[in-house]
Amino acid sequence: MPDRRSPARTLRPVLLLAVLAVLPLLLDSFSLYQATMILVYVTAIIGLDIVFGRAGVLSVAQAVFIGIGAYTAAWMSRTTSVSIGVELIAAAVVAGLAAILVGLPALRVSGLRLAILTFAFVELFQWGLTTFASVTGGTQGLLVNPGGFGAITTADPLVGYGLAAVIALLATWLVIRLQRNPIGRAMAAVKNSNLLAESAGVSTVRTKLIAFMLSGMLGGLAGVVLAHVAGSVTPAGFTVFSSLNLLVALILGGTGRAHGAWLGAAYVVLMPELFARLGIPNAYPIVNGAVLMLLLVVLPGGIASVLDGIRDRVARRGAAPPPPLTPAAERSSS
Amino acid sequence: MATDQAGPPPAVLEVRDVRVTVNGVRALGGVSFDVPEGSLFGLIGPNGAGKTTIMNVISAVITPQHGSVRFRGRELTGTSTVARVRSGILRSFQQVRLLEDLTVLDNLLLGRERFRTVGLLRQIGGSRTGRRQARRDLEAAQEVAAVLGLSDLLHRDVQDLPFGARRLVDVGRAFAAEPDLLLLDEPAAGLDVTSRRLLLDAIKQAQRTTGATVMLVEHDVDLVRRACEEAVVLSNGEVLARGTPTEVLADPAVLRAYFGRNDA
Ligand SMILES: Nc1ncnc2c1ncn2[C@@H]1O[C@H](COP(=O)(O)OP(=O)(O)OP(=O)(O)O)[C@@H](O)[C@H]1O
Ligand SMILES: [Mg+2]
Repeated sequence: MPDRRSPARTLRPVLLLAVLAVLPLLLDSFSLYQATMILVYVTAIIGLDIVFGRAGVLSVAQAVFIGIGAYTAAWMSRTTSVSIGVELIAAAVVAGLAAILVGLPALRVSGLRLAILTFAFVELFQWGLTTFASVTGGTQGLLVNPGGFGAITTADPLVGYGLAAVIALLATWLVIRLQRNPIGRAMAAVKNSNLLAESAGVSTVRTKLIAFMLSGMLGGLAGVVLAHVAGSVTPAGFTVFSSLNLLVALILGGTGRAHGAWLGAAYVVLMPELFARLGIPNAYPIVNGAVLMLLLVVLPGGIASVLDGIRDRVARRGAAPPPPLTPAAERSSS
Repeated sequence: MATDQAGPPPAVLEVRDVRVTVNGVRALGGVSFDVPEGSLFGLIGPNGAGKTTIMNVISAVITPQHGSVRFRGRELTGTSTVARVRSGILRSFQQVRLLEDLTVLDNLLLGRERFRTVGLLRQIGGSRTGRRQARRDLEAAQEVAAVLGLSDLLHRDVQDLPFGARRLVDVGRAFAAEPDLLLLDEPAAGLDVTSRRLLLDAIKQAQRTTGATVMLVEHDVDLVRRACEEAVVLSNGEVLARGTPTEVLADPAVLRAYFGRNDA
């Protein structure tokens, strides 16, 4: 029986850390900003992956949780002098609670109807942002004061990058933990069907609410960093289109795989830039849509599934042949 | 409850006058039977007899219009599927249902979910209780895998497995839950004669090692005769006969319902 923990597996986090540490030394300030945005997206997309990719609940509310995090950070940075750590905790709590609220309808409806309900929450959030302008700054939004820990503040882009990296790594760790964890299995069961889940003793209610809560918390954390890196927050940043963009990124990158979120995040940040450089920025949404449709048909597992396929093929070469595929029932007699 | 007089073994499950109508169609019209403790109990009958429906009633997937189900003397009516699973009533489905992207081991471990007591944070962060539970779960899964002959396949993705092995995983998930009462809805469906026999042997073996009471739907009456200690025959939503397999299969009403139509 070959050990599942290959050296490459143990090496991967070390490599990732090394790349993340060296990257700022190599990048100009704009590229560093983009790298930071990728890391922010990684966290937000992993949040979406937990609820959609793992628990199978189609939600377009992820932008709301990012928005809640971003506005929490903006408001706290303007009215208090607490460290960004406090902002992160506050954002995670508020967004996590909001996510549980959004998740409540998921207990009664599912599928497209639920997606529409989550859409209603996005609209409600937008309405709240424009209506309570004294707090939120209305359609103008709010400027965000740099935050940080004492003298180290996000006024320095490196700090924003470092923060985004730490949180993205945390989110990645979380989702990898989930994979081989009873909660991850419970989510997989709920995704398969309520019938399978409940027949195994999994509470679908609890599992879906946990999925929503985790996705909200990650969205909230991403929002805090986003607010500080961007320097301002406006309602336009947290519309249903922002959510759909995240969904596209997740599906392109590959749901249910930790590296899917990283690939997806790189795609949504770098592709618009690529088209802009080519002088055809308007082509991006069209190409984006076409690529998505194509992938859904040819490659439902996303880009990550291609990489996994290559990895498996490489791993199989030289390895012991797989056990024969005789019906296992026949072995039970021996 | 004084039951000191010798008699038949106590019933682990008592089904009383269960009536179910689905979309205006009568699926069960007053079904009653007892399932004795520790037995391999056969549930047989032609297509559409109501076998799946009675399992749905016992596992609270559907609510009957009338009647009661008692488990170890306790009334189940009104309790949820999850509550019944937690009290030890497990089931499999006529169609195999697996966590497709995951391994055999993960699928077996899903069966351990009914013992889960550790909270969310401690599960993600890791805790001593969580680790101890995980160790116990793993042992239980490995034990079941050994009995069912799945040990070599534990780390394979279930979607890559041949159908027979997938059937075993489906059954294994339920056995990993250490069921008191296990409902198996045609676990051997879709397998050839040899595989059916081997699967049933494996089930019998698992039933003996765990001491579970198993209620089994199976169309092959020869297999039922070989494997089951008791059986009940349903037809058209009604009980035609109960007793030992040999008894019920000799019953004229059963012969008429079963072979009169189905044995073409
Ligand atoms: N969802 C449903 N809608 C309409 N009728 C149903 C439904 N489910 C079951 N029935 C009816 O209830 C009766 C019993 O069905 P059930 O599935 O319990 O039979 P079964 O004994 O499991 O048959 P099979 O051997 O084909 O699995 C059948 O007459 C069937 O037509
Ligand atoms: Mg059936």
